[in-house]
Amino acid sequence: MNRIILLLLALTFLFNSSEGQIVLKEALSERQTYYKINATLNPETKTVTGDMEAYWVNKSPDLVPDIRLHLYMNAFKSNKTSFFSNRMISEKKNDFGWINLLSFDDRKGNDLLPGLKYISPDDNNPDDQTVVSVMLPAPAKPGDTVFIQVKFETKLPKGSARTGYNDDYFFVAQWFPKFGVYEPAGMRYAVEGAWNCHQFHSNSEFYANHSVYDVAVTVPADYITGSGGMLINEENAPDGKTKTLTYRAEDIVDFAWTTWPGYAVYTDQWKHVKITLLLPHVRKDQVERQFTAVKNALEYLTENVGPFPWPHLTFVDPPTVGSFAGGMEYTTLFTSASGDKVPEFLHVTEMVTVHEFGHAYFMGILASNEFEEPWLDEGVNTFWEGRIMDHYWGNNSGLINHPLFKMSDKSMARISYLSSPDRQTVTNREFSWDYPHDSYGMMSYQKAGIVLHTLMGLIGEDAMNEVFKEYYRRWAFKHPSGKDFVAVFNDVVPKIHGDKFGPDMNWFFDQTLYGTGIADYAVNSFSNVKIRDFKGIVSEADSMKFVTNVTKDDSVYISKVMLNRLGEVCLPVDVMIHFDNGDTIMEYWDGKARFMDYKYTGTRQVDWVKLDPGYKLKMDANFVNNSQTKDPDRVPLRRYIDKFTIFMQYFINIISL
Amino acid sequence: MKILYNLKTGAVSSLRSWKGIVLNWLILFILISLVSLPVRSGFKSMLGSSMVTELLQDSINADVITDLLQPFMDMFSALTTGFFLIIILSFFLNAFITGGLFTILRDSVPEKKASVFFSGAAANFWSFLVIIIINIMIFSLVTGIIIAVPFVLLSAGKSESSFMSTGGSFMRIAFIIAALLIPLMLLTTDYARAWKADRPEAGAFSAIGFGFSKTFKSFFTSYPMMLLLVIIQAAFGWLTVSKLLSAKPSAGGALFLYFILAQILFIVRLWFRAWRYGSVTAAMQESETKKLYPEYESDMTFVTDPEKNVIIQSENHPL
Repeated sequence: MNRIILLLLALTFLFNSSEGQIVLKEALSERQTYYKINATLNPETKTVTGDMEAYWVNKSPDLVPDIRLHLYMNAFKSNKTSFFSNRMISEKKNDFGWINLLSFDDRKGNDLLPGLKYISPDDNNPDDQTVVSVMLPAPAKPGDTVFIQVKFETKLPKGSARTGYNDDYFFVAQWFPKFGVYEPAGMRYAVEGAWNCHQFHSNSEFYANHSVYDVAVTVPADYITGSGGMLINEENAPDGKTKTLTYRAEDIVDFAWTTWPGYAVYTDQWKHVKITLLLPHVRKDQVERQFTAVKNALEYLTENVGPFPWPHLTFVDPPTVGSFAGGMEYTTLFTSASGDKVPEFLHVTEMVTVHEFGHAYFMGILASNEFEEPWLDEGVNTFWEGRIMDHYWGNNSGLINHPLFKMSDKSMARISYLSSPDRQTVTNREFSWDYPHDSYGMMSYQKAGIVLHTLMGLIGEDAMNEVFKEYYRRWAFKHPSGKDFVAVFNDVVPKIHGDKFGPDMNWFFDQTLYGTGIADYAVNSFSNVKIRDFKGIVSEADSMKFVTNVTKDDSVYISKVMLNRLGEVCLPVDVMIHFDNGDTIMEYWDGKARFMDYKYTGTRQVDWVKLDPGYKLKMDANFVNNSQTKDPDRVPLRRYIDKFTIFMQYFINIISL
Repeated sequence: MKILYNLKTGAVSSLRSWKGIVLNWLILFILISLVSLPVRSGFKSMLGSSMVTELLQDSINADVITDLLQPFMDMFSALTTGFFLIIILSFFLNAFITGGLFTILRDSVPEKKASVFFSGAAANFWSFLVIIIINIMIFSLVTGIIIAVPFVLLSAGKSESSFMSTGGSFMRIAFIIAALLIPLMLLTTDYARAWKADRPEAGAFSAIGFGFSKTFKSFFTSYPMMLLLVIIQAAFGWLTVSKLLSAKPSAGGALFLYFILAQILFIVRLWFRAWRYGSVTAAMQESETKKLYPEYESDMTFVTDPEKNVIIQSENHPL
């Protein structure tokens, strides 16, 4: 009886804790899961021992016989796991990491370990233990809360895939048993209720419910620690050797933390958000750059997508010794990547910071399934990274701003996509681990990013912002899928542009994101043919005039502009035609036919023709063939050749003593 | 005083040898044009009558590079071969040209004629080539050891974090030492070449031996002189190259002026190098003369008797 009362008391505390508001004024998500973890780091054995209480609420109409959890640290357990098969590499034996479940009880204290079974839903790999199914004593009914108490021991691997240790540096991610997502019929692509709980793969980490985390970590007293939670309490052990830091995080999809004695801690404030930066002391020169980057991203995404709701944000610039942890996202904790000296003209550090912060929106708030639709967080985030970088650091110099060479962030994505031999190999319908020829990165990040830049070129920046604001309104703190994303475009774009692009935008996504075609429009040629003895009326520049071809000035020409669609992708495109009398005509070609000819009769001659004059269709595989002129400007080319000559002269002069 | 005298003598003799410097420029310019002109034609052909060059006005544009990637890669393979051929050829040509320059920079050659330049260039070609190659090999080896040994010692048996905290300063010191070796390499090479140009019958290895012995015997006067010359040359080179490479003339006329200015500045740069050769030659000649005439002072002026081919004393300073 006492035991039951104690348990009820404990549950009362637990539920108060999980549903109460400490960080946020109100719950942002359904909070279908909750975790309370007491973790202790042993820096000598590189292990974290944990005591976890957690629950999952069955909000589906189904009877659910089991629960499924990720045990991602087992990805590093042997060189035969799916993670290592994806990577085609093997690790040294002493690098291995794993998670051992020491006990696994339900709320009544029943031992659930006998019903535990490792499963490999993605590839049936018997050597992979990154997903576990635990049979419940009785199926969970709709509305039931499944409560578990787990004791676990996690051995961290030596720095690998953004988790582990190196010397005294620790980045503790993917470290505790975490619930999968139960998808009832109708949710995303589910036709019947089932757990969506994928194995740990080389290219994807995230798909989880938004949860509340109460995590206490015990580390050596001289270690500096950061996490995705808000620091609630810090307490030193009586012997002074260790300290325990208690964090609270609300409505995030994963909880990670880092600890290292060498961190310097800096804080800054952006509106309601307290920003904490952890980085090595030697990089203090980069503090301002880092804060500027994250504040720019906060401002831009808040303005154009939706609010950043949390009052806290921690980010880490890992030291060289912890470089394995660089470039990763855990919503309210993320890692940047840089070096001790990064030249001012190179904005790579800012780019990583902006990108990883962006995941707070695309994956964190809009919690899509990275395993099944990696483009929906990585590609969408790459698109916003490009916009932010080029907005704040220069439209042509978002990534590199050197007098000799400038590069926008968008251009970087375009280069990766267009120069890849696999740009037409597969569509973006693949699961993250199924992309052939190592094309995952190019397809999920760059191609998807460039597709969205192209779409923005078509519908305009304002319409694009409206779409994302609506996407945020509909899907924040839920699990949108690719079809939900497209549906927002289908609803918003016609409201803004009417039927200019048709009743929906499916034609665009089917060709680009879900197609393998290439977009390439070209000016074939243009000509001006003089007509002898012309008499008649010609119309020019909104006026009509009668012309008799008697003097040289009255010569009449038939000007012909011939255009081609060389690629498979059909996009509407603007055509700018300039005449020798200064007139400029803007034509609109729907881009569907393989060719288009424009013919003009008048006293003026065509000087030059430009397709997509603003270079907005970033998918276009070749900007060079987008224009033709009678008088090409050779000055830039001559200048570069002159500079090449100068460089060679000095270079040879130096090396020849 | 000796340093200033040598620098002054070097400056005067190099100015008087302007024809050699212009020849040097011309040969190098023609050589580089063998690659730059086909590259220009290649790009013209790739760009055709496109207006995409508007994207190249500000700087090299990544989008245009992407679009020209395939033809550029095709051209690039030819370009890299051409580049290496130019480097090798320029090495040979430089051995030839410096042979001529060191010959006409000597006091004993009052008329800095092209014929003397070319005969000296031909006579010294192989020896100069050997001197340059051997000296570069020696100093590359020494520099490699200076940089590699601390790196290996520091990284062995140390954790990455502790290496990163201390390794940086050690490596910086190693690089500074390696940089300070550059004037030493130039001194030994220049002394060897100056000595060889003065003694047509001597071998390349004897000249290298002289270069090293002379460098270390006169270290405290020669090294500061060379260090000064290297700093001046490097500063001039850095300033001109950085300014020229970042300049953006956008009209045809401005581009033409830019090109002319760039070539004039490069000729000045070549003169700086000839000044170095002249100063080292003056230092070498001074010490060699002192061997023959111990009473010789650096401010004495000598003239050559063309018939007897001996140095005779000047009127102001009878020996």
